[in-house]
Amino acid sequence: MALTLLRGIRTQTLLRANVGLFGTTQRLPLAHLTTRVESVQTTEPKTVPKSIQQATKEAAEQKMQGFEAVIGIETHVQLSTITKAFCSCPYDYGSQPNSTVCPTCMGHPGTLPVLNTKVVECAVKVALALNCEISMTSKFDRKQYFYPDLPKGYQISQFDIPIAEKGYLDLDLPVEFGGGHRRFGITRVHMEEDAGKLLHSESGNYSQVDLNRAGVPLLEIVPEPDMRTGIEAAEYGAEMQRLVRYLGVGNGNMQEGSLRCDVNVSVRPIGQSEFGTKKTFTMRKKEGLADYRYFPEPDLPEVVLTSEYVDEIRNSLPELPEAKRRRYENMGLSMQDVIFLANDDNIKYLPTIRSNSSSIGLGKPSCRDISLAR
Amino acid sequence: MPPPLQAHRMLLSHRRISSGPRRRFTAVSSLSSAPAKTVVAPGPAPSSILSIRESLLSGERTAVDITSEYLSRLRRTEPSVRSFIHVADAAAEREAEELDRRIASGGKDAVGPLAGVLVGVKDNLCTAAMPSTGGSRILDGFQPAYDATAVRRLREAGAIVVGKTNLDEFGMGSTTEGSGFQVTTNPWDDSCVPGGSSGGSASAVSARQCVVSLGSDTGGSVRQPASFCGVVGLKPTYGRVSRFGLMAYASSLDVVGCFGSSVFDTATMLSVIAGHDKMDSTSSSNDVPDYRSDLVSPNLLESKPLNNVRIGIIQETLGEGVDTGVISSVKAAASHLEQLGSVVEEVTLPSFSLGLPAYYILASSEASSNLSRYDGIRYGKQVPADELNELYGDSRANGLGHEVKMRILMGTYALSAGYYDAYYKRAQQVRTLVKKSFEEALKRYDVLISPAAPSAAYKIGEKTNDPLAMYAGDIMTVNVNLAGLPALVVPCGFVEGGSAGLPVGLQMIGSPFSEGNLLRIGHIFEQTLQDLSFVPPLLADI
Repeated sequence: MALTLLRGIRTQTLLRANVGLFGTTQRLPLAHLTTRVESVQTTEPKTVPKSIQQATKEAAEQKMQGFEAVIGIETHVQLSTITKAFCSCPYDYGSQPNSTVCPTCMGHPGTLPVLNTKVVECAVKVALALNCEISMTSKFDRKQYFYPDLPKGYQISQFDIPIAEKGYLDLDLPVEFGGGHRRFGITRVHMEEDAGKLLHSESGNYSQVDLNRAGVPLLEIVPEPDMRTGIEAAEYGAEMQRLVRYLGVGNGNMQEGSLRCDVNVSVRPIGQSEFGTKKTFTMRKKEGLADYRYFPEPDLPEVVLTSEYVDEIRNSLPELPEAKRRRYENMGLSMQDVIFLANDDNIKYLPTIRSNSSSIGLGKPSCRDISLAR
Repeated sequence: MPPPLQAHRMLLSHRRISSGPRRRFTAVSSLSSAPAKTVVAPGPAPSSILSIRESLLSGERTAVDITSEYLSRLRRTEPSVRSFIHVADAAAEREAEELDRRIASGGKDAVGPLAGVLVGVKDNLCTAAMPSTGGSRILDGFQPAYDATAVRRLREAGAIVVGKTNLDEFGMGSTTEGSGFQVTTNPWDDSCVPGGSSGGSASAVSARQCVVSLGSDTGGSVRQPASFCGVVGLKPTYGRVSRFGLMAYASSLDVVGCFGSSVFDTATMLSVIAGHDKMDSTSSSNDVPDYRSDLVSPNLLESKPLNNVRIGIIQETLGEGVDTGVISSVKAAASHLEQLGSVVEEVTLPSFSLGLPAYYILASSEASSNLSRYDGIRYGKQVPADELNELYGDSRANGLGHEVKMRILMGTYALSAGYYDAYYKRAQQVRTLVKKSFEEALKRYDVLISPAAPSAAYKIGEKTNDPLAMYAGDIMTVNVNLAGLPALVVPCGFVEGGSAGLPVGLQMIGSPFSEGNLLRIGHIFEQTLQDLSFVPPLLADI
C-alpha cells in the first residue's frame, strides 16, 4: 500500500517540479515535496490505471534524464507504552477528545515531566535492531515553538545527543520490482513527545484542541539520504513498520498516525554529491523560520544507561525480519517466499509441515505452509 | 502562651554576647517525641511553632483561638503591608475548628508537627483550593487542579494555609513591585520595599500575619527579602525540596524555600517539606534528617559551642557598592561567631563577580522557555483575535508585565541560533567555574558568610526605572543558586532608617545538603544574639 503511494508521490514531484526544483521562483503548491504519507493516503487513489502510470513514468523519465532523486524519510514511531512519555496518562487512539489528559500533559503551571522508563527501553530495542551505536549518556532538550497543539510551548526532544546514532537497516526489494538487497544508513534515533491535535470546524471559524495525544512517546528515526527510487523508499517504510511490530514497541498503524513518514525528495544531476538549492515545503506553518532555540531540558536528568541494561535488552530481542529472511534464504526458499514469510511476525514458517513437499519455494506458499502463530 | 509580640527597643549597633552568667532554660529541642514541658522564657527569637504546639497539647488554647489571633493581626496590618494577594480566612477558621474537633476526639495523635500553624504560601506555588496567579495578570483567577508538593506536605503535617502571598511576577524581581496586583510594603518602614521576589512571604512573617511561609528562591528571592524584613530565610540545596507545583521561572535554579521568625521554625518547616518526590525528577533522594534535633537550647550550650567550626567570610561581598552599615553589621556578626568559638578567616572567591551576568543569561533563557505556556490558549487570560499570532501576541502583551517581557526577550535572544554559544553556553561555563570556586572554598571552611544583600531595604520606586541597579542588588545571592548550594539568612543587625532601624541579614552558605549544619550554627548565632529583637515597630502600634 505504502508502495503505491510513494510511487504516486514520486511521479507527481517529477512532473510538477520540472522547472521549480532548483531554486527558481516558481511557486509550487504546498506539500508536494515534503509531505506526510499518512495524509496522502486518504486522498490518493490506491491504484493508478496502468496506462496512465506508464505514460507518466515515461514522461518523467524523459525529463529526468541525467538527474537522480535523493530520498530521505523521517519516521515517527509512536510507542505503545501503557502511559505517556512524561506523565501517567494512558493513550487510546480514538477516545473522546481531552479525556486522557492531566495537568502535566496539558502544560499547566508548576507541572514537571517524569520520564517513563519504558520509552528508553523501546528506544534501545529499536536502536539495537537498527544496528546503532547507543549513547550510554544522552539528554533531553527543549524544541521551542508556538502552536496551539503544543501545550508547553516547547516539545521535549533530543537534540545534539540522541540516544542512538550511526546504524543501518538491511532489506530486500520485492522480486517484482527487480529484487536486490539494500542497506540504508541510519543517522540517528531519538526520543521525543507527540503534540496534540487541532480539530478545525467546518465553517473554518474556530478550531478546537484535543490534547489526548500530547505527551505520547515517539521515536524519530532519521536515515541517511541513501534512497534513490520510490520503491526503495517504500520498502524502507515497510521494513520500519515490520521492525516496530516485530519488536512490539508500537502497532505501526499508519491510519492511526502510529507510524508517520515525512518524505523528503531532492533531485540533483547524477554524479553531483551536493544538493541543489534546498527548497522545503511544509504542510503547516509553525512560527516563521525555524529557529527552535534548543537548549537542555532542565527538568530531566541525563539518561544514563549501563551496559548490563543494554545487554539484557539485546538478549531479549526477538528474531528480526532481516535475520529471518537470511535464515529462510539459507534454507533454500525462493526470495519471493522469503519476503512473504518475513512480512508479518505473526506468520511463522514451520518446516515440519513443509517437509512433505518436494519442491521448495515454488510459487506462492499454500495454506499448509503457513501457520498463524500467536 | 504564644510569645507576647512587643517591639523591643532597637539598637542600631550590634551587641556582643553577654559574658555574664547565663540563665537556665528548659530544653526546647526534643519536640517530636516529648514536647517540652516549659515554654521558652523571653529570649531572642522564640519558636512560635513550638509554643502553638504546647498550647494545643496542653489545651491552654484552641486552634481557633490561635487562628483568630493571627487573622485579627492580619486584618489590622494588611491595609498597610499588603502581603497577600488572596486571604483564605474563612477556610482557615474552618480548618482550625476541624483541628480542634480532631484534638477533642482523637487526642494528641491528631496534632501533626505543624498542627494549627498558619502558613502563607507564595502565589507561584499551586494550591488547589485557592487561586494561584504567580503575581501575573495573565493568570488572574486561575485555580490549579492540584496542590504543590511542598504545600501538600505542609497540609498533611497539620498546617493551615492562610493565603497566597504577593511576589514579583513569576518571581522576576527584587522588590515585589513587579507584581501584577499590588505593591507590598516593608513592615519596618512602609515607604520601603520588602525585597523580592518573595516579598509578600517575608513581610507576612515579619508582621506576624502568619507563623511561617513558603517562598521560592531562583537568585536570592528568599534570602534578600528575609534580610530586608528581619526574618529567617532558608534557601535549601537544589533538589532538597520538590519543585512540583512551583510555577517555573528558571528550572535549573528554582528552589522552594521557607521563612520563619526563628531558625527553629524554619528548621521545622524544612523537615516537613524536604525529601524526594516522584513528581520531580530533579528532587534528591538523600535522607531527610530531623533538622530540629541539633538545635540546642541556649542554656544547654557550652561556652564555645562553635568550637571546631571554620568560617570563611567572602571578601568580594564586603567591598565597593556595599553599604557601610551592612558591612559593619556583618563584621560584627563575624566577631560574634568568633566569640562562640569558631575560626573566622577571610576567603576570596575569584569567580564571584562573574556570577551575576551568567545568572541573568541562564535565568532569562530558561524563563523565555518556561513562560511559553502562558499563551492564552488553555487557561488564563485570552485576548480574542481573528488570527492565531495576534491571539498569542495580544494575550501575552496584555497579560504579562514589563519586567517579564524584558526577560523573555533577553532569554529568547540568548538562545537564538548564532548567539547560543556566545551567551547560554558561555554562561554555563561560568556556572561551572562558580561551582568549582565554591567547592574549593567549602573544602577549607564549613560555612561561608556574607551579607544577604548589599543594602538594607530601600525606598519603593527607587530602582523601578533602573533595572541594572536592581539586578546588581542580587550580587550576594545569585552565585549560590548557580552552585545549587543551601544558604540560610539570619537577621544580624540594623542600619539606620525607618523609625527603629532597618534589619540586616547574615547569609551563611554551606556544602550541598548541609542544611542541618547551617541551621545549627544559625540557631546558636540567633539564640546568643543579645538585645536585638526583630519584631517590627508596626506591631508596637497596634
